[in-house]
Amino acid sequence: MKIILLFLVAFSATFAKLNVSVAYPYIGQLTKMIAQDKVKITLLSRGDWDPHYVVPKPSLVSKLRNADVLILNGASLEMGWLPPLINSAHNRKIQKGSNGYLDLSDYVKLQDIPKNVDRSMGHVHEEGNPHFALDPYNMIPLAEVIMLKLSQLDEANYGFYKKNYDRFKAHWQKKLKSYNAKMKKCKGMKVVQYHELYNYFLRRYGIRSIDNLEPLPGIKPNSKHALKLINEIKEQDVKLILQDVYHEHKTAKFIAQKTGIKVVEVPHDVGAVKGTQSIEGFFDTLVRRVCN
Amino acid sequence: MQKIIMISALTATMLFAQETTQESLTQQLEDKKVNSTKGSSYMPDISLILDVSYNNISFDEEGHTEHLEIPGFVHGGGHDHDDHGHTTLAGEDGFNFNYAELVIAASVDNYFDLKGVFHINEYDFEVEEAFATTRSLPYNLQAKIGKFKSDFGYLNHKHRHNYNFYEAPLVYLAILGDHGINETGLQLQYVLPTEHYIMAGVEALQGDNERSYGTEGFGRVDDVDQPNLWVGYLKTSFDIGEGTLLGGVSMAKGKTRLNHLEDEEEAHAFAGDTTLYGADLTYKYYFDADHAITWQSEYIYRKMDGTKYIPNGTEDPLGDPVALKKKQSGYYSELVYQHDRNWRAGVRYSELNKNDITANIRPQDVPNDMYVTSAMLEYNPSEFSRLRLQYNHNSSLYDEEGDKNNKNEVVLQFNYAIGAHGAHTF
Repeated sequence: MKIILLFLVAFSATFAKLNVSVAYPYIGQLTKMIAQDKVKITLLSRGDWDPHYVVPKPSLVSKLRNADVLILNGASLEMGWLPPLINSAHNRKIQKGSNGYLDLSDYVKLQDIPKNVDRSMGHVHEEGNPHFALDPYNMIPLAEVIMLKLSQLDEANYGFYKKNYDRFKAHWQKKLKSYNAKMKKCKGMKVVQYHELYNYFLRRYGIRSIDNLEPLPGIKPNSKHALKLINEIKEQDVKLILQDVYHEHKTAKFIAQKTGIKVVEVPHDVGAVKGTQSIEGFFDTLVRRVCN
Repeated sequence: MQKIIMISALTATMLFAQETTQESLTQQLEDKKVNSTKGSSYMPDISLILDVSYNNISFDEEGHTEHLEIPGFVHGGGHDHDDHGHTTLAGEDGFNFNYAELVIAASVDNYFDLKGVFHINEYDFEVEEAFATTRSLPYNLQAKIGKFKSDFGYLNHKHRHNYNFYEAPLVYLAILGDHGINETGLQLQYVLPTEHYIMAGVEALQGDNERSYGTEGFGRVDDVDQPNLWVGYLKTSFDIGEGTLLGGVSMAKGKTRLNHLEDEEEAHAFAGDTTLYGADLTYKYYFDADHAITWQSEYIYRKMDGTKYIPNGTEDPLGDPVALKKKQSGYYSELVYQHDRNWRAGVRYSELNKNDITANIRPQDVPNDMYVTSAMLEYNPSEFSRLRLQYNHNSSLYDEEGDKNNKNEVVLQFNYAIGAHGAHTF
């Protein structure tokens, strides 16, 4: 009798797949690499959306309702949409501070931390720039944190998760070397971007972002600022305008026309453009489009 | 026997091993944190919202605006429940300081969140909401205790600055008044484990509402036991492509005590039972995250059954009791187009489409042609500031002679928010 019971306990633990809700596609891909089909991954947004403004549909509440763990980017990136959804889901497992709440920004050294913040400076995140997933060097530590969290909640598969993480780590270290080699020639290059989405990536490879198309974070471009940009671009020999997929493209095209420099559409997350469905595809595309 | 011992020993070692791995994993995770002090201040989130408007109001009959009423719903003249700064049906021409709203919120501990919403009018400080919600109830339950806006219908729980128009629609103002169902009590909500969103909720509330409920007796009419008002609702939502449908049905039931015996004109009182039935349907289609079209409608039906007392100058201050029955309903429907993060425009039509009243079984001669049409255009310089231009044609008001007096209003509204970033809700 006891044996049967023991088996039952052991089996129910193995068979109940962990429900993992992830805020953004890159988190989903990292989770998938580590857990493969051992967990059920539910994605709350899409790679071609503005990560600051995900539509808080009630269907997302149902997804969070059934989650055992919620993995989010953090650093206020989800501030505008996720908190009320968590509240409406009435799920104690994923409340901030619970075991099933994993805020990745806790594990990354944040950049662009403002000395003081005021709304007259636009939509500045006081914790620092939340777009740290754009640095390929952050993938290994983030994968490790996700591996540890999944293992903590689903210890039976710790060995499996660890093995997959180790394999990813080894592979990614090679990728980082190849990115370093490819990006070398672009060191010192100057670019402008629409929003400060790519700072972590650009800094990693010594590319200088001299200004943004939006005059202040979250504020639409205006003609005065566009004229200033045109002058800056001409004076400072800027090579590229980095355009994300979700902001309007008109301003970039206009400035490109006036200055003769190139606009490149670069992905900001997995799935933002074609061929970026995996972490590898995403960074390959990013590297290729910024530096070729 | 040996077997059992062996298994127990095995289990014990397994458990022990498990514990140590568990501890080590937790420790490793903790060690990897580089920003553990981030946002660790104990200051709650605080925000302040200011709403000011310039209103230009005109009436068809400028001389007949003293005793405006919505017949069968809101009686006019003499009395003033609005002694806390709300304008009467006529409205106030010129600059209006509508409100300043102070919101303070934080987690109490692992188990509760606390939120306070305070309305500051020119001369008053009102507790609009102050409640605690649970964070850790099992089975996907959440409880809320305190004073809060009920989740009856779609619009009732929203704060005024989240409305798509300057004011609540006619049906809300007529049946529930300026504040809607906003009561002290307990709420319990459950999200069902279904693929589509289904939420069920019940509320037990003290039950005082300027238009539909009340607990304090008068004369020989007894007080009502509290909690007096019971609210229940069911909400569901479906995604259809890029569109989302959100629907709900609601019900509210309680006793009514409305005491207007002190009114200078048409003094009266009412005691009875009131039941409200609500149905709401919202469809939002997103072209992208900030380019959308929303169609939103809500219907409310009210059944009142009781006794009306009209003082007749005799010794009995309650005078002649009259058996009063009301079957009334109204709805609003609005279409809002959001062009981008800056521009929005919308139209709204709200009507009281049923107004059947009998006094001692005799049908009363009351109008049922009350409606308001509105159109608005909004410019949001940023997420935190808003300018709104709205036009209202209000054809719901009657003067003391029983004649309709149309009100036309142009509103230029200024709304600002500072402090903690509020998230968007659906």
